Amino acid sequence: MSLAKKLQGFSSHALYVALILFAGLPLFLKVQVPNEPEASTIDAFAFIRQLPKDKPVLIESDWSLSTRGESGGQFEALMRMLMREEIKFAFYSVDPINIAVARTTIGRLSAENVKAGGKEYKRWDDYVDLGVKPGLEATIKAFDQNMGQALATNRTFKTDGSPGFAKDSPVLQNVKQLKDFSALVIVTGTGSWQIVTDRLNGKIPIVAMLTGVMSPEALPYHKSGQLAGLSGGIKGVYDLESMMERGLKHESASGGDKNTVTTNNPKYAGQYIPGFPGKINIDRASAYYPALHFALFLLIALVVIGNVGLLLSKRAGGN
Amino acid sequence: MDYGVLKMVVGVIVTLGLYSVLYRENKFYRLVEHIFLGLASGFAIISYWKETVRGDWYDQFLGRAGEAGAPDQPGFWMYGALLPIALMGYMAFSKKNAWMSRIPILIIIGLWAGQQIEVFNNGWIPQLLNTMQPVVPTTWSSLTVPGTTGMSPDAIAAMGREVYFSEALTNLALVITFVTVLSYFFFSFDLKNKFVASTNKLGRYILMVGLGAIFGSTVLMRFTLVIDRLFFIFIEFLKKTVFGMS
Repeated sequence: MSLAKKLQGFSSHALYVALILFAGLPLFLKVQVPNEPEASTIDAFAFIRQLPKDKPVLIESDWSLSTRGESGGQFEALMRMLMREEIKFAFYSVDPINIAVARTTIGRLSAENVKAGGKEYKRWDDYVDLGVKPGLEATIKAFDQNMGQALATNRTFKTDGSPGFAKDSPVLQNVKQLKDFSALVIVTGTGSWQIVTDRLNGKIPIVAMLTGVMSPEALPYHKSGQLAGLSGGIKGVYDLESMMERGLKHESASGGDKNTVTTNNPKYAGQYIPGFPGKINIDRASAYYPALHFALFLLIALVVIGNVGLLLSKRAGGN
Repeated sequence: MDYGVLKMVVGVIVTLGLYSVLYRENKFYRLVEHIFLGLASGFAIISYWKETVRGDWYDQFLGRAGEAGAPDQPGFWMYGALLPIALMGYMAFSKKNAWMSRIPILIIIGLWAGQQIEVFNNGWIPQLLNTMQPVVPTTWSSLTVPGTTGMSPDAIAAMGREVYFSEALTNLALVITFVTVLSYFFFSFDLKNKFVASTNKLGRYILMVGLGAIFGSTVLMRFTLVIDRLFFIFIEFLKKTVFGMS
């Protein structure tokens, strides 16, 4: 077999083994990838860190284990920030499997928060599980038109597991309209963010935490101000984890240290937004991000090798 | 065996079973695939009943006895009118009455279509307005946005109102991209005018760059999914659970 054919003829099994090695082995290493957070993720972090404590946040958790690599990290970062600041929230999902994943993750992170000396997040008292909301277009319309009525008929569970109505929860005592929530944060692996944003733009600040596939499409929404913040893909999670560890400041501000993430966005002039040093911030994305770079290196190398093989075979007059 | 460990072992076996198709089609993969489909379907049916249909329709329709001292919830019989409409959806399985299944679909499409004016207004108008960006610099004191270290917030705000050359250039790129990509979608007439034809061509190239960026993001996402599964097997299961390492 000629070199040209060899270069183009790697077996798929060999490629899979190479991918497992390139993507799997870096997971055992502690490699720090230099990083400059995206402007959209800086906005997401700053917005969440500056949420008022006296108003609950509405969360759409619409991801399952299939996008855990990206959405899982985003949801964990969001929950850690809210729990550490003791901000109450209500959440719903569009899909029954997604709500189960959200419930498990909230329980795990509440236990983690307690272990770190924080507050135990109790269902009903600190957060409300609004359940599955299929037919998002109608749900969002109902939320928009009469949030109080939507919550009045929304059954949920109390701390002891007994049933109750969402409106009776201490979390939602003062929620009569959508704007009584401080924000809507959407963590999704689907196109549901667009359904929500297209219907609620201007009615409540929206932060989107999306997978890498969807984030390029969502960038114009952030640039036009329809999204108050946007965290896209594993890079978005890595950015969030970096800022949770090191904090964020405007270049004109005092506070922080040389490791603090710096922005020159005029809207943060003079501001220093601290992270959560000493807590679990560096987690999933910090393990995945270096592995992703190794896998991308493999991909680029294989594309180059394949094209060199193609070029050689063309020069030799082959097909 | 601890329940948490048992869950992990099952998770690892199932993950390996699904990935075994990469070697070749096999019965283990098929078994895992069917278990997954069965579980997902069964879970969804129960979940939709418990979390949606029961609370949002059944209890509203028939009412519900009060629990733990709560007052009884009266039923609203008009909710019953939804039942025949919903059942019409299942007429799709009848050759003779399949036309009836279109009625609930028509209602859903009607509701969806009715929202589109609001959707256009909320979704696209802000983005169209955002394309109106200044393309002429307002200051030549610096070509790029200068640093603000040591400046007061007021001075930074005043500086933020200026348009520097680098910003004007970025805005110009946005406007050109917007116009040329829109011109690519002139399908209804022949592009004889050289200017329109060339903007159309430029729009096509820019679209290719955009689609390449989206495809690149898709590849990143797919890789992240693989890395997540490898993390689950290598780190969460092998390193932390089996070998007890931190």
